[in-house]
Order: sequence, then C-alpha cells, then structure tokens
Amino acid sequence: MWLAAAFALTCGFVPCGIVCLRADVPSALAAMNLAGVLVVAVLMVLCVAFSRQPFIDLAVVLSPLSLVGLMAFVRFLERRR
Amino acid sequence: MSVRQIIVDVLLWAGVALELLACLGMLVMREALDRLHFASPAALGIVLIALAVLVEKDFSLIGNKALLIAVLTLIGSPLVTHALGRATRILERGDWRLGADEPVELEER
Repeated sequence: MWLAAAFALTCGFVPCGIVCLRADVPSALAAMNLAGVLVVAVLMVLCVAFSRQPFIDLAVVLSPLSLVGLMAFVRFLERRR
Repeated sequence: MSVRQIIVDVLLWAGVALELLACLGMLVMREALDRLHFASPAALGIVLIALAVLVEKDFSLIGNKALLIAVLTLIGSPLVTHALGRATRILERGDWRLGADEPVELEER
C-alpha cells in the first residue's frame, strides 16, 4: 500500500515538469515548490514502505533546504526586474 | 483490518489525493499567481501523510520526524508562497505596492 502511494505521488512530477518546461519563470518556481513538497512526501512514504529510517532523515533535511533554496531563487527573481 | 489500519489508509490516501489534485491544478492554471494557490493543498497533503506515518509508527523516531516535517512545512510553505507572489508582482508591475491605476478602495484608519 505504501509503495503504491509512493508510485502515485511520483506521477505528480509529470505536471510539475511540464509547467517548469513550458511556463514562465514565476510559474516554474511555483511548480518547483510543489515538486519539493512531493519529494518530501515520497521520501516519508518510502521510509515506511521499506522500513528504513535514513529516508525520513533525508526528508527532514530536504524540507527546510528546499524552502531556503526557493527563497534564493525568489530573491533573484525580484532583482531581475 | 483494524481501526488503526483504516485510519492510516484514509489519512495516507487523502494526502496522496490532495497532492495529486494540487499537481493537476498547477497544470491547468495559466497565471503564476493562480498556480501559487495550489501550494496550500500540497502542504496540507504533507500534513495528512505525516499523520498517517505517525499513526502507523507511533511516537517513535520515525513518527517524531514525520511530525517535525509537518510542522516545518506548515511554517515554511506559506512564507515561500507569499515571497513568490510578491516577487511575481514586482516582476510584472515593478513594485508590490498598489498602483495609481488600480481601482481598489482603501479605508484610512
């Protein structure tokens, strides 16, 4: 069940990738935000599916780092004007 | 199937459904500011998945870390969404503040 949930979550990367490739920069950043959230969700689910703790350690580290990375992109986006 | 397992299933698949709906909405919308609206259901999806992990694993190391992830996402996601919305407006109009050509009434307090 957990593996099926991880697979279902992974399918969510396709719309995010399409938006990143085809839309403008702010939309791409919004899609990247969503993709980061999806990765954290997938890692949490895989941790339970495989009963391996390192997956959730990755998710704990990735969660704030993806937010900080997005804030850096946002800063560049503001200065681009 | 125990009650606990049913609760885990409901929380997990509700979280997955929210995430997938957020991705679909992101794809369907056209404007960047409209796409930003779908960050909040995604954050709620993470919370539901974290709760499913917590119910499955109890307050163990994994359960506590799932709770931490939910808290970090609940705090950080609105911040990033707001910052991105502000940056989008600055990119489009040069300033995030209300322009003279925008017909919005403000009450003076």
